[in-house]
Amino acid sequence: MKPENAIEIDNVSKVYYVAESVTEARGRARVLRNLTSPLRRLRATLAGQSAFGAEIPVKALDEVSFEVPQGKILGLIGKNGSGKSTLLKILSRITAPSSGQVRIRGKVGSLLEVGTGFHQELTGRENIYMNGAVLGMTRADINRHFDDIIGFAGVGAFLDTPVKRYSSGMRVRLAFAVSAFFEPEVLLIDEVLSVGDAEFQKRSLGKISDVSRDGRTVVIVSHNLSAILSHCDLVAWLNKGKLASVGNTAQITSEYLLSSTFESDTLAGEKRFRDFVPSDKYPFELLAMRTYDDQQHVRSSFLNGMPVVVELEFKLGAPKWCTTTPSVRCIGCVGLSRPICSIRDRITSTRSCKFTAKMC
Amino acid sequence: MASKTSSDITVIQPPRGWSFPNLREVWDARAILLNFVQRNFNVTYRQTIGGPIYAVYTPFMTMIGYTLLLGVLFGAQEGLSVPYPLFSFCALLVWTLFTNVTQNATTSLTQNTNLIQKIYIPRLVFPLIETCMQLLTFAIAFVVLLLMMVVYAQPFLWQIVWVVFYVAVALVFSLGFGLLFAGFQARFRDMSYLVQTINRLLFFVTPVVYDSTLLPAPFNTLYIYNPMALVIEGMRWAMLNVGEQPALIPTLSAVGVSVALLLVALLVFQRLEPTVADVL
Ligand SMILES: Nc1ncnc2c1ncn2[C@@H]1O[C@H](COP(=O)(O)OP(=O)(O)O)[C@@H](O)[C@H]1O
Ligand SMILES: [Mg+2]
Repeated sequence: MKPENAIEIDNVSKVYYVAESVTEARGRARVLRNLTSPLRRLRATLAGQSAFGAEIPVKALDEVSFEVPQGKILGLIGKNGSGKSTLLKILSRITAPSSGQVRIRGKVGSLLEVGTGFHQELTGRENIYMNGAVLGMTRADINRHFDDIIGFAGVGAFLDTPVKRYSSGMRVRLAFAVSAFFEPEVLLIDEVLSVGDAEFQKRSLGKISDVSRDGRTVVIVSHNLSAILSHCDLVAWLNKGKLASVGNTAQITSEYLLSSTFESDTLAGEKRFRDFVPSDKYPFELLAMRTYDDQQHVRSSFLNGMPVVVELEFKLGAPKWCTTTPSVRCIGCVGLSRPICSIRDRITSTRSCKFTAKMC
Repeated sequence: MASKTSSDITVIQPPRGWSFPNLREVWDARAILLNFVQRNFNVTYRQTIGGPIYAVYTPFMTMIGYTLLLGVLFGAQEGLSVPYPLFSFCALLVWTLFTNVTQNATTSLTQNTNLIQKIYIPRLVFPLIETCMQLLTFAIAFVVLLLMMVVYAQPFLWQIVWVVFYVAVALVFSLGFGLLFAGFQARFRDMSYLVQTINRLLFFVTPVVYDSTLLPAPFNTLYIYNPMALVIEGMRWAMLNVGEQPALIPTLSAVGVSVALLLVALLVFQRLEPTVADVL
């Protein structure tokens, strides 16, 4: 293992067996076959294969190799089902790879997907000690971090309440605090940032930066690309179990963004309105709204600095009660929390209008 | 699945063939194990009124039931050198230890799905936790047996030290039995029913509530090759001086069977362990 690396992933593959979708008749035949051959199932199980004969193998990870240098924050991105959680499960030894090898230097702390490594019947306090013990900490070590943990998680008043009575937010906060404050050399975090509220997300990202500043290594899975952009030193992009690329955060994030929008986002870039406004009552009826990039592709995600073409499709009618010729004036702003463009434009066409804005 | 090659580098690899669990790793996790045992013990009795009374509840109630049924109605007391309640309770203690260890070890992985899928702990720790818990429960019930012996004015003899040996055999046999099924239980939830059924059948061929001298030939010489029968006969001799100490050959056979079962079970467990989280 190279001295500068904290994690080395070497040709790692993982095969899962999932049930093949079958017709009802074939399914029934299979149930019968399985019922009559328990021994075959036991043998298949022991051989490490699927226990239900007809299942099909799925490569959740396919020959993935990359390295994470010590003290860096690596962002793991990719669409749903691309194998991100599977990779973290292998790194944290929850499940074994089907082939390949992983080498990790130091203690590993992890916060995987939904749910926490808590015992539901035990109190928060007891769970903190138990999780500490699991990470190989002594009682004194745990005591040293105890106040920081409950402070960060904000569960002070519930310390002696069984975890099963915690709200889901409290559970996630406590789980994050336990894995981050017990000073693992490698910290693995799967999509927890999407669970808590905005304030918790901000604090946990701050804590993650602190952790790496102490020379420890973090691997973080998130769909929050702006968090990835602002916190990660490098990014690995998984696509259908394969490593698409690894390296520079800004570059790979935008590659990922571009590829994913072209593949499947065309529809999301268009919004159609139906019966939004009863047309016999008002002269203006909005039919659809689309956003384009400068290549005339409909899309919904845009990078900073990219021009955005917004198109509104509408119908201008002339109801009987209307005395003047209808016209539309567009005074708008685009952007959620702050306007990113604004238009003041008198629209004269009666069918549609397009205007160009710039993300800034 | 994984091994520490140097002081702090963990190598994670696919499992290769048949191997024994990394016992060093389990030993390193002993603090976790003790932690869990202590916590589970608290949890088990936390939301109850009776608290640790439940440790003796099952064998004690079973003893009362059989005392009423066999002792009073069917005259099982006849020909016994000790009171029937002592005679049956002494055996029910180890029998309860056996059934609880086998059944709880079998379901130990499925019961801890939550933890197993979130944090890595050597998986062998979970059946071991159950074993330790049941050993504690046994210890409490054993104290009750001692009290009962005082109440019945039953003398304590030197051979009581043999209890350690017989309990050890029972533990090895039960753990082997439970471990054999634990990995399969993760995939096939009907394994625990199978274990229950086997236990129930074994109950009939083991002299737990009846006197083995009543067995007809050829069963009177064969039954002792059931390791649990040997343990129970041994316990009765050690505690209550009933009958004689089991002979050498059946004793060696019980030890051999138990150890062999445990070794096979460890191999099977390790075979299924690395991917157990995928199917839980
Ligand atoms: N325990 C499992 N059994 C069978 N298939 C699984 C299991 N876990 C994950 N998969 C499959 O592996 C693939 C990758 O899943 P996952 O790693 O969870 O993706 P991601 O976290 O990137 O969304 C998916 O196709 C998923 O269905
Ligand atoms: Mg996931």
